[in-house]
Amino acid sequence: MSRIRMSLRYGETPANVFSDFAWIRQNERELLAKYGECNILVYQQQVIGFGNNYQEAVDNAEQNITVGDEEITPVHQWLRERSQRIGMLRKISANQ
Amino acid sequence: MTRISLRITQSPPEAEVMIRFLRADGGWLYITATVDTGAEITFLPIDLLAILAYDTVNTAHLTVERAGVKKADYEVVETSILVQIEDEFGNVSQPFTMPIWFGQTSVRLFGMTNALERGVLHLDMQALSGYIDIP
Repeated sequence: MSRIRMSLRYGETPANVFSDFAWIRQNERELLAKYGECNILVYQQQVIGFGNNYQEAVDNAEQNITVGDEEITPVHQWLRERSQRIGMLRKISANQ
Repeated sequence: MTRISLRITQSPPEAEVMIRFLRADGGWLYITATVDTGAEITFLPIDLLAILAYDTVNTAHLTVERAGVKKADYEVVETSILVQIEDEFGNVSQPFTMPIWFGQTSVRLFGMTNALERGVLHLDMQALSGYIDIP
C-alpha cells in the first residue's frame, strides 16, 4: 500500500504544500546542481523522488520511502534552468 | 473577485502561478506554471494527460509554434480541464474550465489570453508584485 498520496480532496491543502514549494524556490540552484532539469517530488523539505516526468518521479519516490503507516502528501515541481525564456506559443494548424 | 498572488522573479523576469487540476481519480493535483502573457492557451507536458480529468469529447490534435521561432513546432492535444488557481495566502478562485495544450515538453505555461477573459492580470516586475483578480 503506497504511502504517497498525490491526489488531494477538493479544498484540501496539506500543511507541507506551501512550505515545500517555498523550500524548492529557495534552494533551486542547489537542487538543479544536484538533480539537473527534472521533475522532483518534495515532502517536508526533502526530495523523495525525481525523474524525467511526473510518473517517473512518483515511481522513484515509491522506491525511496520506507514502509510505514503514515500517509504523505509531497508536492511535484519541475526543476529548470531559468536562463532561457519560454513561452509565446500560438496555433498554426489543426491536424486530423 | 478573488485576488490570487503570483510569485515574481526578476532574473529572468517571470511570474509563476499555482494551479490545481482535477485528476481522473476525482482528486486534485497542484502544478506551478509560468505566466505567459502572450500565449493563447496553457501548455503542459503530455504525460500529465494520463492522470488529469480532461474533456474526452472535445479533444483536438493541433500544430502550434513558438512565436517568431522557425522549426519550433509542437504537435499538441487540445482539450480542457477543470482547474482552480490559488496562492500561498489561502486565496483560491472558483473552479473553472480551462483549455489546455498538451505536448512533448517539460514546460508548464499558464496562457493568459484565455484567463484574461475571466479576470485581470496585474504585474509590476520591478516591485516584484503581481496578482490576478478572478472570480
